[in-house]
Order: sequence, then C-alpha cells, then structure tokens
Amino acid sequence: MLKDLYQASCSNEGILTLAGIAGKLLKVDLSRGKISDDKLDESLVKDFIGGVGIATFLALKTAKIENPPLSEESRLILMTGTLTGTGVAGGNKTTLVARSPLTDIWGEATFSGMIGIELKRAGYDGIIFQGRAKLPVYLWVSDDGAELRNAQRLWGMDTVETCDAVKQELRLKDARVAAIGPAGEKLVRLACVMTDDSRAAGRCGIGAVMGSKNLKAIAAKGFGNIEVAYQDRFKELNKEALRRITEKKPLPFGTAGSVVAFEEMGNLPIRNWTAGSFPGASALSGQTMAQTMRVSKKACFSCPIACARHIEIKAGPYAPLEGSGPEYETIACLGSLCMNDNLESIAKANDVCNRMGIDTISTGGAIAFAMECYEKQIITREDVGGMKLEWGRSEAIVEMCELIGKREGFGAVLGEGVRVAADKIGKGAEKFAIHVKGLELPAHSPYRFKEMGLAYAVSNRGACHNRGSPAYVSRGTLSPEIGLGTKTDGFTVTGKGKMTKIHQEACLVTDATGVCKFVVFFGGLGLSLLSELYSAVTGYQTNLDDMMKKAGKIWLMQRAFNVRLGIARKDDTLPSRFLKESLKEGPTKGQTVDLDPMLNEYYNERGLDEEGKPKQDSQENSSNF
Amino acid sequence: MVAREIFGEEHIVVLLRQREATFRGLIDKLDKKQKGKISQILCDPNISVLLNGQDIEFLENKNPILCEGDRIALIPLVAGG
Repeated sequence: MLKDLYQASCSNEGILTLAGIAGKLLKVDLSRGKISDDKLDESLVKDFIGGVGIATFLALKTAKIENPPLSEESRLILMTGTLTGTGVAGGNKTTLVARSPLTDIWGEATFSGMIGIELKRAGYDGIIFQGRAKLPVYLWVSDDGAELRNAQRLWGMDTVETCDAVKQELRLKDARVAAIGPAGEKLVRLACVMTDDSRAAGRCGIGAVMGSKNLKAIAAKGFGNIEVAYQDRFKELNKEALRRITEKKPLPFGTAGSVVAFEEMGNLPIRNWTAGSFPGASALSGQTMAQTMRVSKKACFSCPIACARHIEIKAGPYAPLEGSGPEYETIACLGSLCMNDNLESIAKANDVCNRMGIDTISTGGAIAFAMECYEKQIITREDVGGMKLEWGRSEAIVEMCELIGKREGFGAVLGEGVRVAADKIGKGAEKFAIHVKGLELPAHSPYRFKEMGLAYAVSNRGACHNRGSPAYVSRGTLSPEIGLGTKTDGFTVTGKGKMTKIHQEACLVTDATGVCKFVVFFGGLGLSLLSELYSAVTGYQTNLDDMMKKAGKIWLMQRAFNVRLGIARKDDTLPSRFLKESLKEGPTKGQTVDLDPMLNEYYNERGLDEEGKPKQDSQENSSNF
Repeated sequence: MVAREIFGEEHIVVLLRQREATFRGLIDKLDKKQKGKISQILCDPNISVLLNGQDIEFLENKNPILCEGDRIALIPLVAGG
C-alpha cells in the first residue's frame, strides 16, 4: 500500500485515489441558472494528464463544443492543470477551451494567476459553462459551493475595475477574479479573459464566448488543501527543480529582454512582416524598460523566475500609468510590427488592451494590417475616422486599441480579426492580412525559423507560437530527453516536421500539468523531472514517454475536431507573403518558407494522410477514450 | 547583455587590419584585451554567435572573412512570450 496516499470522500461519496486534484467539476447552466457538481473521473487524469488534456476530452465527448461559438448552445470549459497550486515550481496555469469566435475552430487559451489555484482550493478542478444568462452574472465559487450573482452593475467596467468591484462586493480582498472587459461584452472577436490585472488567456477570442453568455467574471476563494501523494519525494524533486532554476537564472529582464537579440537574428516582426531591420529595437527592450520605467519584478504563484514586471510612468503623454509592463509579444506586435519605437506608448497600449480585455498579439496584428492598407491607400483617413494611421504613429496605435476594445469606429472592423476585416475592406486587402486559420501571427519570424512557419501552419488553434515552439531548438534551448538535444539551423527545413511534432507534444504535456513553459524549458526543470513531479504529486506512476504518447493522442483529438469542421491541408499554410515574397534587407534577406517538405514530413510523423486527416489507425487510437 | 558584462557596453566597434579580418582574428584580438574571456564564452553552449544575424555554427566556413560593417553578436538563450 502506498505511503501518504491521499483519500477523501467527495459529494458523490467516491474515494479519490489520486492527489493533486480536487476531484470535482462544476457544471453551470447559465440559461436555467442551475449549478451542479460532477465527479472528476480519475481515469481522465490517467488518460489525459490534466488541464487542457482533460478539457479536450470533456469538450469533445461530453460538452459538444462544435456548437456555434457565440450561440446560447456554445460551451466554455475552464480546467486547472494537475500540478496547478500544488507548490511545484511554476505550477499555476489554467486553460480555457471553447470553439473560437475568431477562427471558428478549436480555441484554447491559458493564463497563470491565482484563479485556478483558488478554484482548486475551493474543491473544483474545472468548470463547464453552457447556455446564456438572461442578465449579466458572475460566478462565485467558495468553500460553501458556487452561486451566480448579479453582474449588471459590473457590465461596462474594464477588467481591473471589475476585479476590484467583485472583491469589494464579496468583502474578500484575497478572492481571485477572472473577468472580461467591454470587448468581451461587445463580442469583439479579439476579446480575452484577464486575471490578476495582467495575466491574460489571450488568444482565440475566448472573452467573446464569455460575453455571449452574459458571464462577466468568475471569482474564487478556497481554504482547502491541495494534497500531494508522496510528500517527501515531492519535496526532494521540487528542491532539485528550484536548484536548477536558480542556477540558470533565466529571463533576467523578462521576455522583453529578448527584443534586441530577436532583432539581431531577424526574428522580430517589422512593418507587418515586410522589413528586415528595426533600429528602434533597443528603445523597446527590457533593459530600457528597467532604466526608464521604475521597474520591479513580479512573480506568478510558486515561480522563482519572476519574469513579469511592474512599471510606473510618471511623466510624459502617457502618464500617469502604473501596472504591468508589456511582454515581448506585446512589444513586438504593438511596436516593431507597427514601426513604433515608443516604449511608453506600448506600455499605455498594453494597459488599454488589458483593461478593455483584448489580445495584444491579434490587436497589434490588426493595427499593422490597417497601417499597410492605409499606406497602400486601400483605406483612407475618412475610413478610419480622421486618424492618421501611418506607420509608427504611437498615439494612433493607442487610440485604435481603445476603439477595438469598445467596438467603435474602424475599431469595430479590426476587432473582427484581420481575416474578416480584409473581407469587409476588399480591394485586395487580404494580401496584407497576416494570419493562419484566422488567428493573427505572433512575433516569431517564419523567415528566420522555418519550423515556426510549420508550427503556425499546423497548430490546432491557428498561428500559435506556444502550443509547440520548435524554434527553441534552433535558438539553443534544447530538450535532450525528447530527442531534441542538438541545436538546429533555423534556415533549413529537413527534420523540422518531426521536430515540430515532438515539440508540440512536449508543450501539451507541460500545459496539461499546469506548469509554466519558461520554468520547464528555460529554467531547466526539464520534462523528465516534470514527469517525476507529476507522479510524486498524483501518486499515479507514469513516465515522460507515456505522457508524450498521451499528448500525441490529445493533439489528434483536437485535430479530428478541426477536420470535422472542414480543416484540411489547404488550411495548413502560411500567408503568401512568407511563401512567395522575401525581405530586401536584414538577416533574412532573400528567404522564403518552403513549407511543403516540412508539411509532408509532419503529416507522416503525426499520422495524418496527405489531406491532413488523421489516418484510420491514428484516429482509432485517439478516439479510444 | 553578454557584451555589457565583458566590455561595459552593449556595442563595441573593433578595427581590424586586413590580415586580422577573419572571425578568428577578431576573437584573438579581443582575447588579448580580455585575457581569454571571449574564447571561454564561445565555448558556452548557451551562447550563440551570429555574424550578420546568421549563426556561425551553421556557416560552411567557420572562420569567415570579415568585411567593413559586419556585426558579430553574442546571444544568450532568449525567450519570447
């Protein structure tokens, strides 16, 4: 019999044999105003690891997320990682899953922050929402259970105001809140969900799904313990994790510390991906931020890296401003992508986006698209409400973020995403709409790292740098435990299909456990130690190889869902800009992306046929759950 | 970043005589001033060395000839998110 085995009874009088989990799900029917508990079947943890893995199963097998994204019948699932809140270094992630209103296919977004931890402490691993409340509500989850509370007076508030107002109403300053802003309320397709002021479940328009349900916020506070199966073993392993991270000292200036390096190597997106150098990179760096904005470090729960920043701007046109400093993606997408070298304006735009509740990556991509249309005179000053939407106009960028968030003026067009906006504008605008499957590109260049081009083309949620980031390997962040122990040349295509497949699975394992990728990949915690921590916490003996296989099956389930919605090889592509046009200067001068060889290799490795559909035997494997 | 730690500045300009104008020539010159520190850094697997944005590790000629205006960058492991 195992020592320290955790046993508890839950409301259904079952016995939990696994630790790390609370053992229950909340089911919230917003149309009927009904909430019920459901047992979290432990076999789901064993088969799907946790977090996004379990959410994938629930979404496809029970929750029917194929319903139209903003309809009353749509489903939204929130799921904590198995290691979330257990004290594992970096174990603080929570994932939201829904059919995306931006892409119309698989949508998921993950944030750190305390909301998932408090939810687990209150006794729940996840929540499934269905229906639509008649009037705005928020969900409050505590040790006493869950209830829907009137949110009419919160409707219209920004995300920061909402979180503060909810805590005030509950008279609990430690309650944690995840909220949508005006953007989610107005069904802006770029809308995100925010928590802890600046932690964003950013991508795929999940905020609009909440808005369509009249669900303004989710609040949680719990005082329960999140148990660990093998305490001594866990402590020993976590101590080793912390030792590795402390030795590595990653991200000394946060993700913003990478701006200059990425410009140097040709990875930075510039001028809607049409330019190869950006002299203003240094002005946007984390190093500059530290010198000019009175920065202090901020850490997520249980994380020794502290990559986030708290900033203050006390003078100038964007003062006063105090809050979270922009991350690399935000700096690139609202900065160099739009030819903007004014860091303070980016900090302000970041704050606007966070408060409005819109994804900074997609917002930056939409503004850059508009700037190129404006340059090419496809849209005029009159079309954009009198704004001079020229490259580098920082005040226009800030103003457009506000308009997108409020769904006003030309912001209402851009807030549909570049794919729809291009369609509405016509006149050849689609050439400048840089997206894959409707999701705007993040800030890593397919010209520079061909494997990122492949990753964008085949990610289940559209252009994504996070659900598989194989460029890590070409930049020297290696994972020998999964066969990615040798640095690769980012300019080549051979072997990149296999590499991308493996890295996608590694990222899925990490996401499903609820641990931050920066800790696992950059902090040196590593995937093997992660799998050992998982076993020590849950009491379920597994290994990395097994977890990677499960991740592969989970990936295929998501792919099968997309295929049912019509996704095929024709959609696993990149904007023609990357396939056919090259830059005239910079480190990637003359490069294009030769996608087909990588795609063929990837399909073969992934068990997809030449049309991108799961082959019969791989389909059976993934549907056996 | 790496340059600031060694030289006290983010960027330095190095003048090379024609006979020194190779990658190795540059390293030797800098090593003389920095007591071998540069060569040590080049052995660090967490540092990438770029010549005009290209990783020297993957160039056919690992000791390329340098021309006026060429940029050598020492890049630590970087993450973006």
